[in-house]
Amino acid sequence: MNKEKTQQELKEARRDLEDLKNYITQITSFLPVAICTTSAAGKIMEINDAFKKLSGYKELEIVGNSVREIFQEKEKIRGIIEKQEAKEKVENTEVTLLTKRGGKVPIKLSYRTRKDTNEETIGYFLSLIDITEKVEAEKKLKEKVETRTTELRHKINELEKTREALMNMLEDFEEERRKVEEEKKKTEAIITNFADGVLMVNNQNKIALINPKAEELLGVETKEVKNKKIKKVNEVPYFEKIFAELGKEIKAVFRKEITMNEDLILEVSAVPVVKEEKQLGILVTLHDITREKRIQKMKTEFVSVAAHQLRTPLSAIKWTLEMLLEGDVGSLTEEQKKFVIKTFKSNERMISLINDLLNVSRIEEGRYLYERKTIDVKKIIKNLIENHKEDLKRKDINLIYKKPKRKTNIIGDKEKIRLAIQNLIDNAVKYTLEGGEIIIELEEEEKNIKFSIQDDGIGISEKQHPRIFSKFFRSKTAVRRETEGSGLGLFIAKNIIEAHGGEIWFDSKEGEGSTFYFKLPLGEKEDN
Amino acid sequence: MNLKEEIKKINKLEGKTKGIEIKNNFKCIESLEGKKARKKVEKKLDDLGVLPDYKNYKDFNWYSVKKDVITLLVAKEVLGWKGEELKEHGRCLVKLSFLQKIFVKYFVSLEKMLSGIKKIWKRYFNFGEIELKEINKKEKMVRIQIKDFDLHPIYCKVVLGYFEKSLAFVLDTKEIEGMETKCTFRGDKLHEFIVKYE
Repeated sequence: MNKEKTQQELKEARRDLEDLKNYITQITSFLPVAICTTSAAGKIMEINDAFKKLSGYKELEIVGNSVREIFQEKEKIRGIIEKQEAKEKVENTEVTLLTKRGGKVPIKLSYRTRKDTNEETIGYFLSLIDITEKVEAEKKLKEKVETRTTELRHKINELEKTREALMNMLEDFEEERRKVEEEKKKTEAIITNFADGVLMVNNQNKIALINPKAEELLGVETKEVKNKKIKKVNEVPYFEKIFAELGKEIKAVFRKEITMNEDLILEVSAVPVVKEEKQLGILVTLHDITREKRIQKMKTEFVSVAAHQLRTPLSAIKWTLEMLLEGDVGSLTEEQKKFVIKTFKSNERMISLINDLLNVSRIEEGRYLYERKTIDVKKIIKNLIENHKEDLKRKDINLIYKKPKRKTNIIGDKEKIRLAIQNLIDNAVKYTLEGGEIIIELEEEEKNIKFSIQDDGIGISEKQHPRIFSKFFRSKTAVRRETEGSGLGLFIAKNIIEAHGGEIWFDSKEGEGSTFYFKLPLGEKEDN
Repeated sequence: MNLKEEIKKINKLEGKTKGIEIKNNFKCIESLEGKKARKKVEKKLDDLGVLPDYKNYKDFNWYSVKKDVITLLVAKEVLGWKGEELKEHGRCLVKLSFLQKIFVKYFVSLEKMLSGIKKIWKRYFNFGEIELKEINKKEKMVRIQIKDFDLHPIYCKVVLGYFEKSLAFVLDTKEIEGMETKCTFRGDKLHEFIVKYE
């Protein structure tokens, strides 16, 4: 009976063992984590399906092999197994699984000691978790970090370069600023010590600058006018006068004479200050010409007096010589007559010079008033050509006169206009070579008459063009050609034309000839 | 002696082994030679009327050892196995053996393993007697003897492979080679196996 019972119990124990075995087999097979067990010597004893899948090994291929063989870090695994006895377990250490097909799979390996009932180590449980995705993600992250680090380093380098460039720019800028400062100081020193008065009016019509000389000339102090609108400073008498002359909207003015009082005459110039095409304001210079004007006046008065004093005896000489030539005091021998004629001509030239000087004196004194009448310029020119007939013939000069059919009347001083045209014709005849040609043309324009006289004479060098209308100026070629001449003819002509509201100008090329033009406003039109 | 006669002779054998070991025979044949080979062996056994109903065997129940020996004999015949293949079969049985896993506590060292060898043996067979005669670490060899275990010469090869692989679980080497120095089928009183390792 007992034997039967024992047999029955044994049978049941076997069944239980079998169930347990099946349970273990099934559960290890089901587990998604790769698991293997090893002997105490580290020999693989069992693997589950997940392990087979991960490693690619079949059970028979791997069981009995050293667990080290399936890892890249063999020494590390040996170390872990050796450490196991002391540490019991190792969790999540990262190692590389070598698969059957030669692949390398990063895994997290956990080890746990397997012990018997006597607490003796009899082997190990291993679990392997595939961390490929994590490692890949880490690798990607690392790559990304490295890339970003490289980019960052690159950017830092660029920033460093930019910083250096900026520092260089800053140094350059500082240097430039220093130079500008120096220049500014220099400019300030120049302006402060400038012999002329200087005013700067900015775009807001405010006095931006006034130098000590200007203060002195205008009798003000900087603080009274600086940064004040012109309207305000106009309360100062001199300012009012200056800005009244310069106009409400100050425009470029060159050497405008302004008489402030009997003892102060200023020559005022205004120029726009432009920087990079932008107007910053107007610079007004005040040049004290009081002394010059006084000297000039004295000189003019002297010339006027001297000329008057000279003209009286010269006129007496003229009359005497005329009487001699006309035989009023008895007939002259041919030789005597020849000498008297020569003297008469010299006297005439002297009278002409004196007349020129008197004209200039009158012009400068502002007494060159003219009598306004309707005059026919065409007729004046015709008379003047008649007067030059002998000279033209003597020099064999062909003179062509082109004139309009209608009368060309202007309102003006006949004598003065005649004098201006005469001076121009005199010059043309004087400086045209023998056998040359002169073309005089008078045209009627809509509002003006236009006169031109063209010669093919000696011409004027370009260098001397700007001085051609100056007082006492004679070009070098003119002096070589004609020793006689006051150098006042063109100065007088210019003053006469401009006094009539006209303008005068010329074209000339040395050796090729000159053309002088003037325009005068038309007067009343009349039929021929 | 032909196969039938040999089977007839084997059928006279007594002694038992665990159902799991008989089942593992077929599992190893399939693992080593493939499914077709296993079916071929099964067919031959069936043709000879000796196919065990192993699929319904209980792992831990005892079954006649002759089923085990006949299966190996037929496998040798059908698959043309020789000594090395039989040894490999023995190695494979170790790898798949559940009992081996149960006895893992003995696979800690040579001494431990050999101290439990008798216990392990009794879990496999209800006959025969195994004895560890020598552990020579200097010579790197062990000597094992088995008495009263006269199954069939092919079984000696399988047992040799079994020993080799079992020692491999303990030794940190792959270089393990065994030989049967004494065999009852060669006129010795017992079986003696010497397993050397590097």
